[in-house]
Amino acid sequence: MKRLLLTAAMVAMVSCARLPKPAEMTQYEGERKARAGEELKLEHPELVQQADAQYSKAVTAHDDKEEDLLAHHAHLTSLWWQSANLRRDTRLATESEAEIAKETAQLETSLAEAKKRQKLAKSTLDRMAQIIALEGKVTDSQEVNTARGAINEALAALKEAQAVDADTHAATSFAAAEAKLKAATDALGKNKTKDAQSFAIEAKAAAETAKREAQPKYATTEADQAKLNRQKALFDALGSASGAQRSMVENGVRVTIVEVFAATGGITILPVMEGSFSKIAETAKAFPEYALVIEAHTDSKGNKSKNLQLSESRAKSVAAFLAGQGVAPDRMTSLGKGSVSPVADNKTQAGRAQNRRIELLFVPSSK
Amino acid sequence: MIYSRSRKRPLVAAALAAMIVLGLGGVAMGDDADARLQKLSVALKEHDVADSTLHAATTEIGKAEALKDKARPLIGQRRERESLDRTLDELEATLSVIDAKIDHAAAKAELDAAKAKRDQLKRELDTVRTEADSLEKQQAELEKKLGGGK
Repeated sequence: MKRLLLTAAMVAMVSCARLPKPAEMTQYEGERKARAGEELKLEHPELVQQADAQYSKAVTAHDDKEEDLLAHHAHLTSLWWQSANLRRDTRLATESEAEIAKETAQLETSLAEAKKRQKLAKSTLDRMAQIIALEGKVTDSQEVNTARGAINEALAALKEAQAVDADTHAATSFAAAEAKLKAATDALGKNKTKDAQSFAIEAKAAAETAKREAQPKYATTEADQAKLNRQKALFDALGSASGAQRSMVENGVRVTIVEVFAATGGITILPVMEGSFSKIAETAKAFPEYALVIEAHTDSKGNKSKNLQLSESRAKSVAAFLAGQGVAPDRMTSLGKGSVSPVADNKTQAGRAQNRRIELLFVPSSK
Repeated sequence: MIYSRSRKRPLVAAALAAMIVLGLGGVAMGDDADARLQKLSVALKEHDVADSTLHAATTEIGKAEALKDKARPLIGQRRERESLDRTLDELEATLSVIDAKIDHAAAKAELDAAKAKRDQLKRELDTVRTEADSLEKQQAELEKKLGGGK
């Protein structure tokens, strides 16, 4: 009897013993409960919901002591979780890249300035070297000192002219100034002090002319360069919006995003796409000198006028979303284009998917 | 089928996003198992092509191929329905990981390239600045010597 009871107790214990949880499951439990897990759910709800669903099934299988099912669902939990984590890491890498792109743009500007300093100093030194070479060849006298003074003034004028890129923007006048300076130093080397002084005065005048000629072009070039730098920075910043295809257009940037809405008749931005539009809104706020033209396009299925109406509603929906994120409404123009501007073949499913798109054009604001 | 949007494969991403909305995700619907397998196979093929440069998901693509091969003979066998569903679920989750890995590798490669470009610019800037400083110093000394240079 005792033996029978003992056997029964052992059988009961074995049947009550819980299955060990797979490592994938315990790891998920730990990570999911953490704050980062909750943040990941907000960032990739569709993936984390899949992981959660598989985890629930794994828990049931664990309770039911279904070993195979437990292993299966724990594995799927892990795969969906891994997927969400990779997506977050991708976003972080993209954001880091955008930051580095900004840093690189600043470095490029600094490098251009440093190269200019280097070029200016080198040219000035070369001119000075011609004058220094005369030392010892000419004897000090009142006339020599006067000529030297005039040459130094011409040298300084040339330096100022080159600082506004006169060697590029007023090449003829600048070359004339350089030639006159050389003539002045040559004359001084031959102790022709009067000639030296005369050439030096002419060199200074030519350098001042070159500076005057170059200044407007230099200012324009600087402004153009600044605009171009901003355009490049805008292009780089828009790279953080996932799913967005960017292209540089005249003075601005075009962003194209496909499948923003539910395929049939939807006018509300899909939740999975909201992140992209939030990034675009952030970028738009950081570049207030640009206006936004929002164009919505449909595929060719259905009635043309209904497609036009639908696209108008969709463009307005995007504008409203961006406005909700803080973009000033008076910077935005929304246009419904219907199906008249396809970019791909409407006969194929893939082509229609490309045609259902939103195009955002960042153009310099006229305000 | 659930994926996040892919920057490199917008059509697949768009199709997948649409599937999320239509609620087809993760549901093996009766006779639709064959259709589901077809869709997953097409996605796998596209991922395989997309990964031919960076080879970010070679292992997972191998696993997905094996799952696809495992699922194919189970189609239409009533007794194997559960096994088929499980295999397809695993294939779908594996594809999601593959998609994410490919995008992550591409983003990482772009990040590395951006870092390399920045570092190279930093080095060049240091060199040019040092040389410019040295030249300007020489210039200042000569200006003193010439007396009167601005």
